[in-house]
Amino acid sequence: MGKITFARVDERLVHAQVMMTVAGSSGASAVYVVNDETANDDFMKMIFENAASRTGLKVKIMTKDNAIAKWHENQFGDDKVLLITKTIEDAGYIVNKGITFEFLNVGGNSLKPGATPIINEVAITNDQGELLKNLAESNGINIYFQSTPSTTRVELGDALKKINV
Amino acid sequence: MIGVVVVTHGEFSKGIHQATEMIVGEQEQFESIPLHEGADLEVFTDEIGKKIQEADAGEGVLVFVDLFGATPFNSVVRQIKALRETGTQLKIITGVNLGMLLEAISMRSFKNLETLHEKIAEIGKESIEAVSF
Repeated sequence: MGKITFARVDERLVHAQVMMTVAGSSGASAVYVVNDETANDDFMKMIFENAASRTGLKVKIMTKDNAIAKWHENQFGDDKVLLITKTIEDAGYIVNKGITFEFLNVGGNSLKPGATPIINEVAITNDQGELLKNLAESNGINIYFQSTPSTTRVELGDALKKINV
Repeated sequence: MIGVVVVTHGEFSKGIHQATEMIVGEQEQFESIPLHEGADLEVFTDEIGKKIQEADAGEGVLVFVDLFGATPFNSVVRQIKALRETGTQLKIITGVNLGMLLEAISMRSFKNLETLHEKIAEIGKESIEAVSF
């Protein structure tokens, strides 16, 4: 049975930081990019496949519903998966549909109006804070904010204090 | 004349832009765009589209990025379709270095975009030598 060794939220999906540091330290044998927009765009799909394959890991790009279907079929077969979604909401969606993992790394979600900065690369809204809190409490996921393994790590509990959730 | 745009992680693009002009003097239709930590991806991608359009005088734009598959590259790729619709053609070269940028700047007035694209990629590769004494 496969497993998700590392789940990450990153609006940039696969990029240099992920390829150079995150992929190597994740212990994964495959990168699953779970993003509807990219999975439905053959051109961007090809670009991401080509880029992510340079990590030496197997690469799959799929829609959320496709990922959920594969999970229920065989828990991703033999793959040890680094699973990346673009948004916190997408990560919440797949967890609510039954995909399970132990850790969620929120690594990239840029500052938008109404959001509060947690680390340089991540800002969250109160709604996103509530969503993450719920994921941690109901699904026992250990959630933390960190862009790459060598940078500052903020645990969800400390982040929630900043936004009063 | 073909436009030249450089897009990279951090201030690398600004630095190589300045280094180029230090050698060949101030240039027209030459833009550089840095990606900063924590930048809003949509704002960054929009800026790329705008700067590429500004650099285009009708003969297309050669866009240099630092790494294949990284955010500057991915963001340029995301703009290709929209730029084509407005009539701007572009070609991308990865692994930007000063040698290829200088050659692109000096050749861009008398080559078409396709020829320049191929030629500059060749020059870039050839410009790297392992030197030992």
